[in-house]
Amino acid sequence: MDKRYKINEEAKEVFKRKKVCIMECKNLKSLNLEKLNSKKSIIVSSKNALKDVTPINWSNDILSGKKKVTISKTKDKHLGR
Amino acid sequence: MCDVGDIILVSNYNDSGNNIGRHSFVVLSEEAGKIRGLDYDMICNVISSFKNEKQHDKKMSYTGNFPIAHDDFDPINGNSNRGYIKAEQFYYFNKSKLNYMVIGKMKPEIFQLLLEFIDGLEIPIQHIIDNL
Repeated sequence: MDKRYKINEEAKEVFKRKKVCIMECKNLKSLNLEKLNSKKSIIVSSKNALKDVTPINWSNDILSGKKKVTISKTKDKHLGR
Repeated sequence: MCDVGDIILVSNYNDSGNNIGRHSFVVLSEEAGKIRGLDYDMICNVISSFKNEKQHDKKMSYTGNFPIAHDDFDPINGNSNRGYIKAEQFYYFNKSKLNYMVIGKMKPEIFQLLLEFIDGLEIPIQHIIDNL
């Protein structure tokens, strides 16, 4: 296969994957508050809510904007549910 | 500017005038609304890391915590790549009053899992509105 053709095809594939990713990100459904109306709810203070939160020490690359973090799910077994 | 599913770092988070540090959040909604007469235009969940294995097991036994991993593993500053989202706590913000920066994004399929997780919660939802 012509090397230039191969590079071109690879570039097309990368572009296609990026486009799919951008479309997925733009079409994210947001939180549906109406669905949560039936749930019991309470007001709490930030101080109380954040008391046992341990902030993440992001690297300098993240803090300077040089790199973006991606969050996924762990393979942790969720023991509570 | 930020979008649903973005990870933001909020600086100088205030609680009744007291600064309680920098915290990371995932953006759940960007729709404007009112809660208890106060305007908001963003709802988020806070993200936490684990102090140690013992805390990891304790936190993961709690129904409202959604486990996550991130790709900013940095052993030099002690940053583990695991953490959790406190899914039952909704932080209401007004972006014009908030000092924040977008530092990343949740994978779309994981964000949808988080929303489903919230839908399935059978514990009270905690609304945090004192930053409005």
